[in-house]
Amino acid sequence: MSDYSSIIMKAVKDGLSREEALTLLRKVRDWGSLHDLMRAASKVRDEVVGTEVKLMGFVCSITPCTTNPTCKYCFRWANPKLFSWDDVLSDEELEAGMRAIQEVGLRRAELGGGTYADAVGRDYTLHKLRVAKHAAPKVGIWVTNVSFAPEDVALLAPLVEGITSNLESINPMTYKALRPGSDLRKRVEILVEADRLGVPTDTTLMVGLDLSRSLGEPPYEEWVRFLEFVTSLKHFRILEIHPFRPTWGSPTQGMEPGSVVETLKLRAVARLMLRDVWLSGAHTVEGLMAGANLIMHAYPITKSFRPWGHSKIFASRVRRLVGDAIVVDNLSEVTRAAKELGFSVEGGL
Amino acid sequence: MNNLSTLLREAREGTLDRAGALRLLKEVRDYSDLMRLMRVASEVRDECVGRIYKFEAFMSPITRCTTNPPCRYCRRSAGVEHEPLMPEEIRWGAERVAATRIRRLEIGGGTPWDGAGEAVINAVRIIKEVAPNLLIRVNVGPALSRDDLLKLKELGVVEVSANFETMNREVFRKVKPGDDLNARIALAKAIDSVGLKLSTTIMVGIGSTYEDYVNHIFWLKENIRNLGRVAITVLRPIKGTPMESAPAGSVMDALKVGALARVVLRHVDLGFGGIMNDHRLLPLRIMAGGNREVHLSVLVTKSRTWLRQTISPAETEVVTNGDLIFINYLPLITRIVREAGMEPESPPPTA
Repeated sequence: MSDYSSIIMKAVKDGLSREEALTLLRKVRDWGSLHDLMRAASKVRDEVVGTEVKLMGFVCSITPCTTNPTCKYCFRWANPKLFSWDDVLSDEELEAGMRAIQEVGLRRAELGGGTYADAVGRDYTLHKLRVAKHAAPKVGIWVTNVSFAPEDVALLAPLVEGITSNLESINPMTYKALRPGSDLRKRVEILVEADRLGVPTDTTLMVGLDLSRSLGEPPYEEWVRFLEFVTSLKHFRILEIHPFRPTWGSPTQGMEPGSVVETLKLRAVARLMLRDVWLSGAHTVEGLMAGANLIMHAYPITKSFRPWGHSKIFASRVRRLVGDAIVVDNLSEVTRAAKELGFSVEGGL
Repeated sequence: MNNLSTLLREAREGTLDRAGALRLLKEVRDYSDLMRLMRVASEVRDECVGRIYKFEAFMSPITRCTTNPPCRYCRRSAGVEHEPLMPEEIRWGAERVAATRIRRLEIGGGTPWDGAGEAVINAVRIIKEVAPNLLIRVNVGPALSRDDLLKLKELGVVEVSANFETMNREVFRKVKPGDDLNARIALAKAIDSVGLKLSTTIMVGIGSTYEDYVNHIFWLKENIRNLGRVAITVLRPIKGTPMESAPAGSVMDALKVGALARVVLRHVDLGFGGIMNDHRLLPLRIMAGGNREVHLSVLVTKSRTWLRQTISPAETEVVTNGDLIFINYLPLITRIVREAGMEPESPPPTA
């Protein structure tokens, strides 16, 4: 029996060690082994977290971004209005958005935005969280804007169901090169502090956000260290793994996009390693087959100039709420793959 | 009653009959069943045609469509139409295509119901002058006579398309009211009878049932000796067409039908199209038995809608020539193909 086959068989029951995870990432190199890995991840998903797919609503933006210099792959390079004040929902728009999310039956929503630095950013975030919570008390809020310091987490905790701090990479050199205005240590400390306080956490690993691909294999060791770190968090709940997508007009336009195959591999390995985590990607057939159980960006509420995820293919409908706030009613399209593949969807949606 | 395991064993061995094929489509109800079917389809693909992934460039339009009324899902029914390529544009495109070292080229266009022979033969002559070793497929619908086909064969064309989309006559009439299924079937038989390979499509999402898919696949098996390629296209509703509000075709059904086509038809090339023209779905297409790519490879076209793979500026070559556009996605797509354990088809021999 080949290395990877025996590791996969063992992993279904017993999980993965660091070395085993590395071996899988290195040995899974064709459709057959990828198929085996994804099947094992799906089995673990079904046994550990079940076949009900979770939904996360999306509200953006609650804060502008003051990160300076701008991250070199940010969407702002393609559209400077994104994460500017033009992008920030007013209190009235936020209230309407949260009410719409509650009325449609979503149980949680992420409140996203740019990183609005310093005390003013924290205070603005706290205000927006209070507005959102008051408008939709049944909706669990996940705050994803990282506009607060680790020591502020205790202030946020009573208002939220969970805290997101997207790392994307844990390589300090990657941060220095691609996120020169962002602070990796602060983002890590937010996760650690939230965990210490018993607040569930969420982070993102971006496949392909590295500068070393031309030197050989993808940064498997770094990815496994990332997974080990989140495994060390007792209250870690959500892992988002997706491929880096170069933004046209950005300094990273010339970088290769992250590999779709490596993304599937890493999602499956993450499922085998983290077991009960909620793993994003469940809006697609391939994501579900790789062990995902969470649909992000459901029923997105934004300003009208950026209808998030409004598909030209599917019949998602854009509806104006109040002021300049709109909702993209994408529930049927984002849940379609899950329903067709035999999953139930949270809340019967 | 057969259970899924028995059906999959028959699929693996190549003994699945019509009734079994229909039961198979019905029995595959969830992701786990689908993955089992896809595994069998991949094994059959590896065994019958190998782990070679074929790329085919696409040049269009070389003919004008006169179907009236236009097919209800087609861009023409939204009023979008492009002038056929001029001879110098075909030459420019052929030079670009040849420079990529791709092995195959589809030249496509609408169906001129008064005949496309002259336009197609001229296009083939120009391309063969530039790139004599390109394997050419012609795709212009039922606008070619038997004499045209013989002439194309003489010029070195290897494959000609007769796309049915569906063999359910009621569905065909509904979505293709200006088209003629009998003419397409006659063309397919003529292609086969002159010893050219037939390329054909089955469209998912226009109202065909599982029975229709099975009948379609078995009709091909039983009636065509020289079947070269089957593509499972999946409805992409286009804004402004009568079908703009129809739901997109199902990815799951596309994978099921594609895998079924692989296990029944065995040695043919299998491709996917429509909403499956998405590089993120390429691993699934390979895992369902696919081995051939058209629209995610190299394109010479006047339609900017094909420039949707803006995902990788670093791996997408775009050159414009007036209103003509050349797009080369091969660096991105060959990377994915290799990562999935398939080998890209070797380039043509040097002329």
